[in-house]
Amino acid sequence: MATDSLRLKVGEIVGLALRRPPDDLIGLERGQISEWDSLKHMEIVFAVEDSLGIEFREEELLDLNSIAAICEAVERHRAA
Amino acid sequence: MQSPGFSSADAALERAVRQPILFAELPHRAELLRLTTESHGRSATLYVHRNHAFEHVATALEPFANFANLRVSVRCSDYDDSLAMTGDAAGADVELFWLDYSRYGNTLSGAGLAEWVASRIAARRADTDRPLLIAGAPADSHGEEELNEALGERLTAIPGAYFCDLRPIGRQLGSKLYDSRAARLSGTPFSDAACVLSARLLGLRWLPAVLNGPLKAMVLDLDNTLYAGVLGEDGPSGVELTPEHHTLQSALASLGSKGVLLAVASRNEPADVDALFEQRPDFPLAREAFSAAEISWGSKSAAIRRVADKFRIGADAILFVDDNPGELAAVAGELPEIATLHAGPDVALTARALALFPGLWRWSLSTADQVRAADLAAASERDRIAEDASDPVSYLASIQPRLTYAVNATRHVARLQELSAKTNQFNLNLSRLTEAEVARRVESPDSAAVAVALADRLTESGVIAALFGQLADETLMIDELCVSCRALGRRLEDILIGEAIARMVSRTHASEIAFRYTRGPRNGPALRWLEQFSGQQLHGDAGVVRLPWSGETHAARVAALPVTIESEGTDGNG
Repeated sequence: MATDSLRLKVGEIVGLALRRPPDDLIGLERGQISEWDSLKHMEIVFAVEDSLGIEFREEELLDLNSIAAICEAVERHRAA
Repeated sequence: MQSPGFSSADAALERAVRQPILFAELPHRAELLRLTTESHGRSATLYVHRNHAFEHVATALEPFANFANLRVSVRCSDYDDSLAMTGDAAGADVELFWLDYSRYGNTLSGAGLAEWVASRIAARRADTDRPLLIAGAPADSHGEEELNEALGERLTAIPGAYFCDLRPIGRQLGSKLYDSRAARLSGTPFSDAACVLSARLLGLRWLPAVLNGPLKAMVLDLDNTLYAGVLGEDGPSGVELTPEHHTLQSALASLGSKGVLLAVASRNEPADVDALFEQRPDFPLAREAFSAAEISWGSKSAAIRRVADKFRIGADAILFVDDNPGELAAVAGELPEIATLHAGPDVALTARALALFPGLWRWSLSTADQVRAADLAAASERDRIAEDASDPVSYLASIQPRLTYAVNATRHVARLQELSAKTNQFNLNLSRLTEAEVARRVESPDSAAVAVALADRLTESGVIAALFGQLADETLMIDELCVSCRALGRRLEDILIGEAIARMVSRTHASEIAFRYTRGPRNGPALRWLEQFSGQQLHGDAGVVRLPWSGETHAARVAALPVTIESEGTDGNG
């Protein structure tokens, strides 16, 4: 379970990249957010990695389809 | 977005806050995203011809371009290895070629690839006069070194085409230059760090170098800026030149040797500052490196105004560096157009900021840049001679001026463009020609472009004036006339310009000359000269002044003055 601070941080980064208020994105999947195309996806991935000091594996990237999914992946990396 | 009440002082403080993010050794994308967009600055459109994704550069570009007072909108072509350039680049201010050269590996490489790319750039040059930026390869391996060298060399032959060297990024990032995940998912082999660093070079160096005027001078604080410590308290031997300050001073000395004028503005006792430079031979910056020194307890904005007057430049061509944000804000409040840099506690960051600061970096070092400081020093001596001279003729006889003319000389294209782009006070029509436009005029049989070099017994000033004329019917239309401020004050304007006109008229049978003028914020000296020269009053914001041309009158004026006039020779169609 992701902490509130992690959710806030990831939500802020996704919101900044998509230029949308983070609250608008809570609970939504990538397919429900028109701005979240493949290029924005990589920008979000890059910004999250850079901000949190982790590097996702390539096979993880396509599953990072929501703020919650990104938080879960970050937690897995931190726990590993 | 700035609020309506956001002042220039606020802007200076905001810029200081942004410096640690923008000038970090490796800026962080998340921190860049948090920087809000500034609403001021020049709007510009960048069109990108590309064969791999540029979007990750574009999304990091905004905060860097904002720092350079640019608001850049980006449009990209489809991915196109063939560089057919079928996209719609209309309306763009600058075009960038953003290429992943590894995609040509099976067919072309090294010098052969450079030759082909240059041929495509030349083809694009024929269709547009806008500046063309061509990004090189970021690594030095696998034939890329040969490619970069050959491409850089080939592009020097294409007017207004500029080689953007990505190799410093490759050297900085090493194995982190590429990211195979990105290559598969986002269409570029570049890592995020490579994209961010590319955005920084584009936003802070390359775009400002083709869109903005250059910075010509720096005014520097002393205490806790050029060294650690306070001179008045620690004494000349007590202030510390840390390794980082040594690097910073060396960078400043290097800028000085490249023609950026250096000045000091410090709240100290003049005797203390004299003692500092006498007793600290370990300082890379010697007293002689500074063309002006304002040591007083008065306001720094007043000191900078005096420096600007002495250097004959506007405050918009000056970068003010100080460790005190309050001083930066106070100066920016008085001089809103000045550029400011906060010399914060991270001295290495300040040195990096200098290396990247918009307007300080140049594509190449011109002769005019190299002689600027010597010319300025000579100006003081000329002022002294002028005070002693009884009349203008004896003044000119004392300084022994020599004017050298070159008509349609392709070797002067870059300098002619520089004068068109940079001069503010003596620029009659503010046409701001691009290098490609200048090259086209030099090569056209219906145009004449005159470069005038000036020397006197004190200095060689290099090419200090540019005149462009169009030959139509019986009229010579001069639609661009620029004289460097370094050449003003020698009472030579009439003969300098008149001789250039005479040389253009000699290529035609024109009996009339016309000057096109545009009223700008700072070109009053040029407009006043035209009123005096033509005997006509100028009306409105723009117009044309016509007057008959008499070669005899000009010849008589030349004969009456002790000025040497000579030809450099011509090439091109001249």
